[in-house]
Amino acid sequence: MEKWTSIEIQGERKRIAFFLERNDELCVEDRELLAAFNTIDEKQDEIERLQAELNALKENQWIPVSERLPESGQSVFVACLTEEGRKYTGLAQYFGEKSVLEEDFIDDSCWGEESITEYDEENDCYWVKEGWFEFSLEGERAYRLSDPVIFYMALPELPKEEE
Amino acid sequence: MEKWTSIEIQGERKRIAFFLERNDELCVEDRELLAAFNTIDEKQDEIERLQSELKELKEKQRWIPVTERLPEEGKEVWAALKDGTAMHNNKTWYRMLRYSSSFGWSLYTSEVTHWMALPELPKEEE
Repeated sequence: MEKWTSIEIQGERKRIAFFLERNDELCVEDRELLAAFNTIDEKQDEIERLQAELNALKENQWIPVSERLPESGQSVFVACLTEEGRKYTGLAQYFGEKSVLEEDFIDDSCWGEESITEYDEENDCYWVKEGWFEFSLEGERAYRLSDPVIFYMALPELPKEEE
Repeated sequence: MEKWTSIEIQGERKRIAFFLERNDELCVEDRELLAAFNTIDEKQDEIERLQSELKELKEKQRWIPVTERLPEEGKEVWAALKDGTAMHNNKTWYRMLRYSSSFGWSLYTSEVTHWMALPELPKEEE
């Protein structure tokens, strides 16, 4: 045996627990082994804590749209790919299907050749069509992104106020 | 003893190494203990690897005050501005900017207080 697997540890722990239940005094070897298992478990907990922290930070990195999409309406930073294979970046919003009403999003000036809304007969309303829209800081006009989005990332949280 | 400290492990390892040097056969208990130490060391290595990865990522995602240092020449970065219109809260908004030592920030108004590097775009996967 070179190393302990978690299954082997479980087995040994059971054996030792059996002695403890009977209030038997543990032999030195078992006490030492038990302490080693405790140390292994402690390290394992630390590994899991660090991995969770790392995964949370990775959320702030580029996420492929093939993996998942942002929440509807969330402003994100995107990377687009042109037909010629050129990449460019910018701010955009993704809208899911039937999640934003036309009147909450668009002013009249936005009507183009391609309608960006769809009529919902059942509820008698117009929804913004599913897809990516350019995010303008002026916030009045909405344009559908002309190139497909390949990656996106959350906007970084603003720096904390330092006193 | 509830747990093993690294000093205690070192001591035990020395004791076991002494037997091995003499080509003595290890008893089962020592073999088990040695295996446990190997597992502990392996986990410790993994902890250190994760810690350094975490540190690197944290540094990449840190807002750097302009008083500390400025971004590389011409490189596009996130910039946090003082007193702009609100995008996420009423104090600051941000957009991407370039910094140039001759022209300063590519911005007409407001003061840049912090900046952050943009993460590199991932390489195309086949």
